[in-house]
Amino acid sequence: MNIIETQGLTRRYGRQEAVHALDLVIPAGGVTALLGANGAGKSTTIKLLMNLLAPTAGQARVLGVDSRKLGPAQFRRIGYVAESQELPLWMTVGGFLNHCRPFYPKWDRDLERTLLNQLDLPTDRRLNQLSRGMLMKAALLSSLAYRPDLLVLDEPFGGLDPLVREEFVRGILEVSSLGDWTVLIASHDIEEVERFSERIVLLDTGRKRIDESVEALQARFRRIEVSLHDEPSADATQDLPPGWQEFSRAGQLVRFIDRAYSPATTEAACRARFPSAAIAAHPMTLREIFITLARAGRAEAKLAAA
Amino acid sequence: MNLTLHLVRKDWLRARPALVAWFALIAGKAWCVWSLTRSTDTSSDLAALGGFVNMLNGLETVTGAMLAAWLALEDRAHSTIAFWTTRPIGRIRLLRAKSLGALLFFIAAPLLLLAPVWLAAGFSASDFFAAAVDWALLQGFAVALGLLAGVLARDLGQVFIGAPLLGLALLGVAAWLRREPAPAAGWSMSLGLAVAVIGIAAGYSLRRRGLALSVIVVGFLLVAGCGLPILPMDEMLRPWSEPTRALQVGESHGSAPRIVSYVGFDYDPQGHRGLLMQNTRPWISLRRNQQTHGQTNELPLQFTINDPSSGKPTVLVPRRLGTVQAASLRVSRWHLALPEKLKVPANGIRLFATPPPGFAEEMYKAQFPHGLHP
Repeated sequence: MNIIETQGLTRRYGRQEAVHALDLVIPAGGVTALLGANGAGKSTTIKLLMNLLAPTAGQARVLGVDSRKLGPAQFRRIGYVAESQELPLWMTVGGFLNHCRPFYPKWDRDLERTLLNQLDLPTDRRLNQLSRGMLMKAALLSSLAYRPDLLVLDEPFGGLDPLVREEFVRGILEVSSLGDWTVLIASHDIEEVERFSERIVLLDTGRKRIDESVEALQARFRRIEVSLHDEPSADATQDLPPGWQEFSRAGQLVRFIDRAYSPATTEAACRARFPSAAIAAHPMTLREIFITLARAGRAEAKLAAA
Repeated sequence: MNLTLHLVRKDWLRARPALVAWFALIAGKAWCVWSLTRSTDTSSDLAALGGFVNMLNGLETVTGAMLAAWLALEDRAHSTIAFWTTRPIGRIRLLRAKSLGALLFFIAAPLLLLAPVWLAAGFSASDFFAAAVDWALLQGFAVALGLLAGVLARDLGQVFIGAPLLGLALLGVAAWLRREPAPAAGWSMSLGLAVAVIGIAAGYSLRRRGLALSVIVVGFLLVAGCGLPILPMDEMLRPWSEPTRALQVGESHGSAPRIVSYVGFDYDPQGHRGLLMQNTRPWISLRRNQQTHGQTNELPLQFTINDPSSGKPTVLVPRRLGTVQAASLRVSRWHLALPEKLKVPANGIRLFATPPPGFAEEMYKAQFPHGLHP
């Protein structure tokens, strides 16, 4: 069963289109990251999925229910943590958990205690006395103790300093082993997301650019360096394959990014242009891939506008 | 625990210090007014007390409304970041919790606090009921207004701007329904309260704030429109007083001069019109008079006593010292100079007040120029 499905999901604010005809399928299990720059439409997508906003067109189904009909029965199975979410800051951590507990018949007191220990949260401290990271951890705890089927994290790292961010990520990594939940995380913090995501959905100006597993994505992207031994022919740098991006030459070194890397095909394509060159293929981080795609997206948008 | 009660408990824990302070204000004011009106005899003191009490009344009502708005804003109905929106808390449950909380915190609890004061002031069961209804109506209107503003507003700043405007709009609709320059407060508040309650229900039930606002505006217009056919019936229901009956308003004990509490007419659907109070006491609950819109204490009544020795009525010249209005309570104090020759028996004398001749007919004609049964 798919936990989330969207068909042509669109949301407009006046003339501005925040999400454009998004088709998305997230099966049960695993961690999916919704990546994109600021304003890419990640949070709007999450809000549409959580029935916090109404779609302008298209529809979304969450846990098998139309997102517009999500109610208490579904929210008992959904954990939601967002940077922007209001929390009852006047409560202590213990009081906050006491407040949340009655709403969830499946609340697991043992898991609550385990999470309290793992996340190192002081139950007697008021939420407004906690650091940003601790606050997010408290919100995470309150969204995990009932073993949700779906955990949604919307920009959970926003405003966290590196140390707290590390602490929070470690917390997520630790708790992710405690349950069998599907996690959807929207963020622009690629390095953090890379550590625990299994699948990436990349949004750019409200449009889906990438939707594949991290493994497959990293396997097909390579930074290629070609060391030339002699001057290539004039047409060697003309009509480049469509998967080659950011092609540049500095002296005897040619660099580009191959978006459709396969050892044999890429080498063959290089040899055809640079017969006597040394070819090296370097793996790319998710961040480098993201930047490459963002640049390509902007270039395409400019081209389309022209 | 029932989840609605759980939410009410959460609101109580959140607002407890502020609510306790508000309760203290209510109880303190009631006790203060009661004790001061018992001990204050001069007009200047009473006038000063009236100003003080009016200020406290305003503070009490406005604070109650603001507290209600604050509690509504704690779980904003139209927000994409409110905590409750992604928790298993439905809109109807939230509406139920906020309504129940408002009833308990802003109506029931204060009435429980006021009950001992009213009982100590000698209220009869009917006085008590009338005072409670009066108080609950005024406070309920203010609280409903606060809740409505809290449901529609995004923050307290908007509440400060919106609540007075909403109040004026609600009273405006009610006044227009009554089509009178000075509508009876009870009627206006009842209508305003009804519209506000519908608005609150719409505010919580509808997801989109813009839609909720539109429904409330349309609701105002609909209520106003539906009110038109009610107008003739409304006139039929209005009471009028017995024109010439002497009203027994108090007893005076001891020697002259005396301070006498005074109240005016009241309407009794069973036909016992006019008589309202039989005993002199420092506190009297006044049910607002329908003919005069609560202005009964301004009537130029003639006070008389029956001379125990001769049995003849003696006219007294009253001098009103002042009036204290405390929500449902209205106390007018009069200085009546008893004739020097008058011998007051140990068990006191009875004091009577008579409306001037033709008063009731004039009032009747002014209000119903075409008569009740044209």
